[in-house]
Amino acid sequence: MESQVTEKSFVQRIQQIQNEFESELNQIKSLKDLEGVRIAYAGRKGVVSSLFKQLGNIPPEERKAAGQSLNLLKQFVSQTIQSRENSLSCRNVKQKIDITLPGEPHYTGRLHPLTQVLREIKLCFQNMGFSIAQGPEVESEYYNFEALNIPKGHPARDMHDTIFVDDNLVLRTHTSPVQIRVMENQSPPVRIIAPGRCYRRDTPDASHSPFFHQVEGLCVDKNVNFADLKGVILTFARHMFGSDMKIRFRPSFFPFTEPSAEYDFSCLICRGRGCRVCKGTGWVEISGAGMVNPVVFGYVGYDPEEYTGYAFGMGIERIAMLLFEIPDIRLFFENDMRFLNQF
Amino acid sequence: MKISLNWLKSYIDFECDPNSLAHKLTMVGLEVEEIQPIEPPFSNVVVGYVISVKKHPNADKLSVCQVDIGSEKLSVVCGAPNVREGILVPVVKTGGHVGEMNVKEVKIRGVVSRGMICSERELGLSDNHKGILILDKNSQTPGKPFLEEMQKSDTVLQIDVTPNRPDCLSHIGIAREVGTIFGKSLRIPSEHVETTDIPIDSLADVTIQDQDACPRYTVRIVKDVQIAPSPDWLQSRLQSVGIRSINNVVDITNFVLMETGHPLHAFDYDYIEQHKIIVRKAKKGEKFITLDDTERILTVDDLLICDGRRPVALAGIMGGQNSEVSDTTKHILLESAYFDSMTIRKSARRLVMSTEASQRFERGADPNGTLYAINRAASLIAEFANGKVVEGTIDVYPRPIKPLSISLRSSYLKRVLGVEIPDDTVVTILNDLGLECKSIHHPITVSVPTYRPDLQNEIDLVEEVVRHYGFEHIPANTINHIQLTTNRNEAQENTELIRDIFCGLGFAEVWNNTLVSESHVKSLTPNIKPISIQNPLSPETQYLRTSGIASILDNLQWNLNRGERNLRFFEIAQTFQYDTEKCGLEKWMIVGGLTGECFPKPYWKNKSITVDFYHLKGLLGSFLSRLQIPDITFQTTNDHLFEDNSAAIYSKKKKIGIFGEFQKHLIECWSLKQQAYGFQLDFEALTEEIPKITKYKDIPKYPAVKLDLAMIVDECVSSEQMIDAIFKSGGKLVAQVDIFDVYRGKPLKENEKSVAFALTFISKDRTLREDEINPVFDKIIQNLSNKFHASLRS
Repeated sequence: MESQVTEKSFVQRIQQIQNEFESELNQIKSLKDLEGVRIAYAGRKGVVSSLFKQLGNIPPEERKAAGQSLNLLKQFVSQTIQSRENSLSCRNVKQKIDITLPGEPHYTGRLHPLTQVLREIKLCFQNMGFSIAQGPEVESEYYNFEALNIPKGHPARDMHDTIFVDDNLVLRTHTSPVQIRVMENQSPPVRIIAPGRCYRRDTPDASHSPFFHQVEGLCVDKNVNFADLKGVILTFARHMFGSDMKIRFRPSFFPFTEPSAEYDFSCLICRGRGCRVCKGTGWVEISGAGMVNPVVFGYVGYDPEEYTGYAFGMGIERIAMLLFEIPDIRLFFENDMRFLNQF
Repeated sequence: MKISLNWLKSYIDFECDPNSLAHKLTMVGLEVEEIQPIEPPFSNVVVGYVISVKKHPNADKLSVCQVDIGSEKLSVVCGAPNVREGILVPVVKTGGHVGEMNVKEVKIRGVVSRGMICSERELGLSDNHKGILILDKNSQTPGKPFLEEMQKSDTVLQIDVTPNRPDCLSHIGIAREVGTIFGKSLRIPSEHVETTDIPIDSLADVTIQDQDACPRYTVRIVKDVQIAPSPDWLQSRLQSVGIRSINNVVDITNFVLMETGHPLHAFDYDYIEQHKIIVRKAKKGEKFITLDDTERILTVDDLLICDGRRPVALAGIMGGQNSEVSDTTKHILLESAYFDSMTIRKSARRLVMSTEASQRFERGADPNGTLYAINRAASLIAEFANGKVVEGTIDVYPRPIKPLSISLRSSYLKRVLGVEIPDDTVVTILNDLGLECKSIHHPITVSVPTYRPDLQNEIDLVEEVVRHYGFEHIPANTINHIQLTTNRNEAQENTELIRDIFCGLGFAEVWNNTLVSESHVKSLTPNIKPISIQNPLSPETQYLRTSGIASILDNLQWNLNRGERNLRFFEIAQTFQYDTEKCGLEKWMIVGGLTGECFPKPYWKNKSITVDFYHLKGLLGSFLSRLQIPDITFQTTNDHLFEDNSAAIYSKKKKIGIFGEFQKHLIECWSLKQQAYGFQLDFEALTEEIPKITKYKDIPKYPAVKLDLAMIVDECVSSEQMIDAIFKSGGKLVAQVDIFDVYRGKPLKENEKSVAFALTFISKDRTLREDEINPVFDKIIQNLSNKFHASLRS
């Protein structure tokens, strides 16, 4: 019979073994080393196992406490070996993924900001039942001026600084000639918008470009009136800039509309309170509109006693500049990637 | 048009601050672009009575004056030679200012001075600085504010008058609009003239040779005028609207012009030879020196005012040097005419002369306004130049122009505007605007005064009414009954689709200038006749672009120069060429360019490679496949845009585009620092091939069998030839052929290559067995061997 062991000395022994185990574990470098440690401590003939055998030598009243300490050691040894095994096998077999490394780079395509704005405009008007029409950029003097009630020698021609190809051919100064082309080919009802490039003989600066883009709108039917025009413009303003938008019409002059108006939107920056952008007025100027002048109906053979119509225009750049707060119109056509990548 | 509010108030009474007035004018269609306050150049100036003048103890040229300004007596040091006891003078009190100078209590050579006595120049009234301004005892009272101070304070509105409103190029015209806004009536100044007994007929004679160009010519003669500087009020009126004062007579004609809008001209009567006025067209090449000392060479379209021997004025535009009013002028012949707007416009445009007169005649003066204007001017010349107005006028007006009568139906008004406006509101607005209502019911009928040439039709009256009724009173109608139609625009839809595909393939969309230089046009499309601009702003914008490729090269250049190395762009580009039948031929192209690496940024995992022919071919292949363009083949091309590594794309044997590496000379020409690739697709040719509708095909139910095959062939055999041969000999079972490797080098011979194919066999109705495929596979090998002398690579 072996000699009696006290619980106290037994627990000291457990503590000593735990220390030895930890220092041995620190020195191992491979799974193979780890296996050696496992056999030495947790194996069938290992240290822990031999300690269990010694439990019987402890006086019965102290045996329970000693057993608990020993169980804790057993648990510690097996858990530590397991976790060490996990980390060793990971390092050797599969790498841990670093999800913060950049992914494969790809070119991100961009739609030009004017395309994006034009799509929004088209969407809005198509929702309201307008179709899309187009016309040529090199336009006859007849369509660009005469049929729009701007005869030769009319002072209104001064409002357009025209680029001429020859005496009868111009680069269209507005998209309004598309109105005539559509009406010539179609009987009422007409509901179209016509987006496109226009040209004026303007020296380029922050707010002028010799070419720019407009969207023309035209609606002709029985019983179409100015209140309808206001409704369409209001709907457009709210589609584009938000439901709190307000609109304002001011009388103006265009030979092809009568009455004619300029229309304004409440300032997008200050929302109508007055700021530097709107020069304190609370309004920003958008473009022109009006009821189709019966004289124009005369050119296309519509009966002004039967039909009325409204027409409106807008500058795509103008809308885009307001929307994106772009300060210089020339940025649109420089096509600098640092600009295009922003949209 | 500059409008002085002080001036305006001489025709109409209204109480309104300048900002609100500007807003109201803008809201009736007279857009106020600028509100310019005009402050007097002095403040705190009162009338002072000089009680005593004593010599300054320490300065010879200075005096010490005791001045009574009513509330107190001031001691003021003054240096003017003309200061003396008992006169009234303008005195700036301490705390006031003149010009840049703030007046404070100061010691001048030891004597305290508590104010400043001013000259006319110091007060900004004239250039006179010989001495202090001595005021008239009858009109001024000591201690009262200096009266001029009130008059100098004004506001000038810069109004952008639309070309349809010549009447608003005048103070009376604007006053009429203001009157309509406030419901006030106008005060038109009297044009009554006191005349002498001499009848005008004995002094002058007028002949109009061209009555179309000059429907009316009115003359008055004023004798014995005293040419002198204009009175202050007249000078300041003209100054406020930006007109330089010349002398009393010329100033009066300008004043009446700004008052009524009717241009007048004053001739020196003694220089009108034979005292005859003849209105005629110029002869071809006729020369004439205008007031601005410039010789004008005329054409038969120009209208001249001539005397018995020679031209004396370019009608409606500018007078002549030879008959100009000068300091020595004694007698005046006044002209008030009505010229045809087109005639004046043509001449003014051709001669590049835009004058106050021509601007008004071009837009349309009032044919029936000549008399009022000439009489008003004559009465002012009588009053302010001491002239004696000769009895009567010569008024040649063979075909008087009568006011138009226009009716306005309430139903029409409602139909156009969408609101009902009460008849009495309509009548009030029309009457206030000077459109006298002859009938006020069903329909309202008005007489349109000839100063409103813009009012021709019923619709024009609708505009007049709504201008003053206010657009804000028309509701925005958002409920609409519309005819349901659908007009699809395929070109637009295709444009958007193509944009989306290229965007998805990583291309950035650009919008480029279409006005380009000669080199832009010639360098890429030497064989296309470009459309040339008649009046370009600069040689840089002389042509419409003939190709989109040059624009893309511009975009590459711009961005490469700014340090961006990896680029890919596309544009749906309109190009133009001259066409004798249609004049302008507009052709839409899809163009693009790319340069740099296949990855836009360095990638830690793979080394990036530079873009090449196959990279671009692959991108375009994806694009064409997405559009489902059928039967695509590629052929070599020797387009001048591209190097040898380029190709033309065909669909069903129709060429739809080209792509490849840009030629070295283009890269050099655009100073690009690296090689670049580009493409150009014909929008119309391409989109024609987009299938309208795709029909469903059964998805294979049975598994595919894949076999690989590597063949060694001569370099000159193309992969396309081999693939064609595989499909042909393989028959229906071959579903797909891919190339997974091309190898050159040992152990192959110099002119050989090995091409490795991955073949996919599928049958619609069964699972293929090995013994079915093997004979087909062998046949394929056999066929390739026979056709291309190919050998199987083991």
